[in-house]
Amino acid sequence: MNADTSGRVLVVDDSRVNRSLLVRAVQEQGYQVAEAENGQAALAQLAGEGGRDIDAVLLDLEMPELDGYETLRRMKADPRLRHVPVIIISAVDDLTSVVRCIEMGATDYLPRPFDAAILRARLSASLATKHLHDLERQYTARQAELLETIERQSAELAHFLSPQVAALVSSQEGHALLEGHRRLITAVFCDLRGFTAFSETAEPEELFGVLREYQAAMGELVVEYGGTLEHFAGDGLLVFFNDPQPVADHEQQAVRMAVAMRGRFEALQQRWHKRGYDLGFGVGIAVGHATLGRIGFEGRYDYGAIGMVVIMASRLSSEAAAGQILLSQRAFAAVEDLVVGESIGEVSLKGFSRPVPVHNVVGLREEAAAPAH
Amino acid sequence: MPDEVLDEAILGNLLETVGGDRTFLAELVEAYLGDSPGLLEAMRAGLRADDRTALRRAAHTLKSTSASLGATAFAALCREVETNALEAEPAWLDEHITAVAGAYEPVATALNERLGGATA
Repeated sequence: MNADTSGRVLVVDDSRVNRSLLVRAVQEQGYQVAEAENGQAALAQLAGEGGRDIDAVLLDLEMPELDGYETLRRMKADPRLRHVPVIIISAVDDLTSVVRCIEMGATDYLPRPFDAAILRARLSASLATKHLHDLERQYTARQAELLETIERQSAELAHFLSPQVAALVSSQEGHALLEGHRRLITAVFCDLRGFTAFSETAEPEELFGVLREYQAAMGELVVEYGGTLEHFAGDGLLVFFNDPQPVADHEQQAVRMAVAMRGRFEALQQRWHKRGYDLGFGVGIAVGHATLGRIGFEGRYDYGAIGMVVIMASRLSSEAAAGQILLSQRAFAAVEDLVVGESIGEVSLKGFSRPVPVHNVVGLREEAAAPAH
Repeated sequence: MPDEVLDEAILGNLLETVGGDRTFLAELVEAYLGDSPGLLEAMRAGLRADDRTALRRAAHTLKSTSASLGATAFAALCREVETNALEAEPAWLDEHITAVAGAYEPVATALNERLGGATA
C-alpha cells in the first residue's frame, strides 16, 4: 500500500473490464477512486460537486460519446480544470497518440497492460505536481488576501494618522524611518488662549462642538500645506514639516500654514464671539534638528518628534498673545523675505538658560500670499 | 511468446496490481467472457453494415481488455483488425475477423482455467 493516501483519482474508460481493473489497482495504491465511462461523464463529474476533490485523471482515449482527446482538450481549455493532471492510458505500441496527448497538455501516460510499479510511479508523480500546484494556489490566494487586508488597514489608518505617517507604516522604507532618525524640521505648535477657562464653564456639548469645528478647520489646513500632524491634544496641536516626507522650503510652508490658520481662526472666532466665547489663537514656530520615529509602547505607538525644536515651538506658543505667530531666530531667518515681521525682543522661555530673540509674523508680503504647493 | 495463449509475466503483474485478490480476478474474467462474444458480433455487424467506426471500436475494446488480461497474441490479432478497419477491403476484414473469432475460444478456455472461479 502507498503511504500517501491523500488523493482522489478519476478513472475514465468505456470498457467495464478495463475500468474495474484500473479502479481496483488504483485503490490498491491507497487512493480514493471515482469512475466515468466516457469523456462526457468525466467532465460532468469534474464540473459537479466533488469535482474539486479530484487530484488526477486516468484517461482512456478510444471512447464513445466523447473521446479522450476531446476530453483532454476541454479540460485544458477550462481554467478550473487546467491544473488537474491527466494521465493517458495507451497501448504500449501506440506512442503516436501519447505524443499527441502530451502536446495537448497531458501530464504522463500509462501503458497498457500496466504493472503496479508503473502505476504507482505515474500516480505519485502526478499527485505531487497537483499538490504543489494546490499549495501554490493557496499561497497566491492568501497573498492576495493579505495584500487586500494591508490596503484596507492603511486606508483605515489614514483616518487616524496623518497621511504621511499612514503611508510610512505600509511602505518598504517606512520601517527604517519608524526605528528613529534625526532630521531638520520646522515645528509648529498652536493652542487657544482662554481655552482652559472656557472648558471649565462650558457645557460638554458646547466644548466638543467648538473643538470639532476648530480641529476640522485646522486639520484641513495641515493637509493642504503638507504638514505632518503629530497630535491633537484638546486645543493643542503639533505639526511638523520635512518629515517623514521631505518638504522644500519647509520653514516657509510652515509659516504660510500658520498664517492661513490664523485667518481661518478669525472667521470661527467671530461666530463664537456671538455665542459669548472668548477664545484667542496663538502659534509658536521653531526650526532645528529633532529625533523622529515611533514612540510609545507595545500596543500604542505614535509617530513623534523629540528635541529642543519641539519644546521651543511649544514655549513660543505659550508666550504668544492671541493672534500672534511667534518665530524663533532661526525660523525668522529662513522666512525673512516672505513675511512682514516685528521683533518682540529677547524673551526668557522656560527651560532655556538664556533669553532668545523672538519675532511675530504680522502678515505675508503681498506677492507671497498665495500658498505654494 | 506469441504461441503462448496467455503471457505469464502479465498474469503475474495483474495479480500484483490487485493485491493478490484472486476472487476479484475471477470476477474480472467473468466480465470479460460476458462482454467478448458481443464485441466479436459487433465487429461482424459493423462489417455487414459497413459501419467501419463501430467495427474499429469493437476491435479496439477487445484488443485492450484482452491485453490487460495477458492474452497478448490474441490482442495482436484484434489490433490488426482495428488499425485496418477504416481502409481495408471487406474480404480482408472478413478473413481477419474470422481469424479473431477462431482464436477467441482458446483464450476463453485458458482464462477460465488460469483465473476463473474454479481456482478462487
